Amino acid sequence: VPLTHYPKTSDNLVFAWVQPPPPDAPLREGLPDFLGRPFSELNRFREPIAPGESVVGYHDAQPFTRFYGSLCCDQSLDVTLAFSNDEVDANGQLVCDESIDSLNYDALGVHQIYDPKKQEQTGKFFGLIFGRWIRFEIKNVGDEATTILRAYVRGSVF
Amino acid sequence: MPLTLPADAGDPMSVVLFAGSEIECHEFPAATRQVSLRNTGTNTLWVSLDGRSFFDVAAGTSWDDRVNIRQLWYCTQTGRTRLVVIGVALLSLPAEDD
Repeated sequence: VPLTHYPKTSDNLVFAWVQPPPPDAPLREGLPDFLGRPFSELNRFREPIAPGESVVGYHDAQPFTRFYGSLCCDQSLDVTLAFSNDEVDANGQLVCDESIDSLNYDALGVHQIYDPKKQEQTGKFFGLIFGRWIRFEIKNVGDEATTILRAYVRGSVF
Repeated sequence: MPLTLPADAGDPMSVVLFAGSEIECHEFPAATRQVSLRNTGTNTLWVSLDGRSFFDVAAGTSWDDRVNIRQLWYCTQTGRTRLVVIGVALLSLPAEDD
């Protein structure tokens, strides 16, 4: 593989939930659009996560070899990173955006209980790739709805 | 008969595109003599030079070739990705409207 074709990703943010969501600011004149889009298009946060409720994200895992990220929240969270190796869905159709949530995420890569009182110990994670597709779930196992949430998942090529 | 345009104008025709699950078509302002493409997003990009056969360009990688085309079709299997396309014009670009 020629060196110029070796994967070099500048864009490796796979999932992001940021509460409260930052506003979209105008670009600085004369500078490139380094992000390529408003951050609101990347931020999956829509509403506070109520106790017992979850938010889930799905993505192609194949571009990356490892996943890492950070967590910060005012509530306890149950976080899982799982993988599916299904190439087709239960109906035999190729995986697409509409069916990616119906796959079998049999390989659990990371299971972590986030404790806001133990930010240093539980506010980060790292996992290897175990499948073709990735599923990331954040469940609020605290007593109140979230008021602060920062969850980022990045993929690493190397 | 003398040529009215240079055989190789060489002007760059660059564009930033976003690909999703629907097949989209990008039309270059002029025919290309070479195309360079880089997938700068996080999903695999699928590209076609004829709108029928597609090949994949992995996230973070590039593809280039000396091809004479006017259109480029692209999509993803899942999610969205961002791509930078630079076509080198085979002939001079059409004059811009004043």
